[in-house]
Amino acid sequence: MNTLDLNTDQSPLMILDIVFKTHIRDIMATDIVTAPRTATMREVQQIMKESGLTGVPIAEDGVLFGIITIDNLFNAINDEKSDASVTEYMVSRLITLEDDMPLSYAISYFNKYPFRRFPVVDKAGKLVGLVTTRDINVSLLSKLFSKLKELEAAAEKDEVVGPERMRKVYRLYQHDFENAGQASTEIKAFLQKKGVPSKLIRRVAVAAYELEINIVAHSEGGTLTVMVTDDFVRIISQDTGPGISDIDAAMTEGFSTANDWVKSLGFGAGMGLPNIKRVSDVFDIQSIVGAGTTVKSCILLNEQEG
Amino acid sequence: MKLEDVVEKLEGTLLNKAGTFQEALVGGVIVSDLMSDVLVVDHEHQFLVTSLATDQAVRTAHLIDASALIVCNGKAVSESMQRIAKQTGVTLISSPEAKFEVSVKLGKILGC
Repeated sequence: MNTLDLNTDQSPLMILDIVFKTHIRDIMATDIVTAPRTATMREVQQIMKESGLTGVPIAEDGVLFGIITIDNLFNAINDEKSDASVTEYMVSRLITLEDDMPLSYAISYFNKYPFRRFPVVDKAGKLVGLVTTRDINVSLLSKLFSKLKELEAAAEKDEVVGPERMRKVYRLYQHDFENAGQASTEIKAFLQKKGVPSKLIRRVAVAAYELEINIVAHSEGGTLTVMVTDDFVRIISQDTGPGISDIDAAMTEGFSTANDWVKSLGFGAGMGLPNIKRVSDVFDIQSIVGAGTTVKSCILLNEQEG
Repeated sequence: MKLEDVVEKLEGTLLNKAGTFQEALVGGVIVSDLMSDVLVVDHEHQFLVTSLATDQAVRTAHLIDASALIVCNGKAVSESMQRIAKQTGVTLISSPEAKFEVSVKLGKILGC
């Protein structure tokens, strides 16, 4: 079984922050179903059947005596002793977690012990919940999700400084032809407001648009980072995906790896990359097969230089 | 030639008028279903003739400053195409005729 190694020296701070600041009580299931010591194995079997649980704590007034798991139940059935008391089959030497322990304890307990669930007790030793690996997964994923969203929002913070300069990151998704072109339209509008000559705007629009189409048609998604200053427009397209194995071929007019579907939408004629290069004053393409492609296009806004 | 006059003689259905419709000019014609080929053309005021009825045809027309986009062969022009045409200011026309017929007409109108 794989283990999650929480190493304080090497784990990302974000993860450590989550696993140390989240408490067991935040992630445990509290709607637990218990059975008293007087219950029979058959009764516990019925509880499991009705609740879908695979472990039932044996407790009375919050005092924990043991736990019956599926394994114990199988043993009873095997012995043909379904009517036996739960005390005969329950696991009574229990490893428990405390509700104010950090999440890291639960993770290390699952690494250390073969159990699939741990009862959780409070300071007074009373049963207050149960923790399964599923609870940990769900809480970790949802916390990571919100942390990553925060990070993305911070990283992609757009910067439109007056009518003259802008920096913006556009996110594009695989096969999302519906929204491809929106970034280019926005950039065009910005340049029009800025008073850039239409011939130059057209060059920028063509480069941005072809890059957008490339991301949605050929990659698994990526970003278009646009920077406009008084002197230039720089567009950097970064995608993750198959990459380009032969850049020279891809830069040849008419060479295309597009499928019929992309072609039916009016693209994939093998003109994209050569066209971007044609309209750019500075052009650079780098690709790693199996990882993705980065294309940089820069168009000077001072026509004498261009 | 003025776009208004060209549109009138073409007898297509005018689905959206750009804000600049009255003063727009037609400087040339591009006939293609491949938008990548259209994006290579480096002239203003082009009249774009296509049978590609997709959102991207409208976006392409907008990005190359085409004077108008005509969707031929009676292809259905979707609501989203019309919405994008409105948003981006593209004059959008539909025609039941084939691209060739429309092109011949355009040639005659423009005196090619």
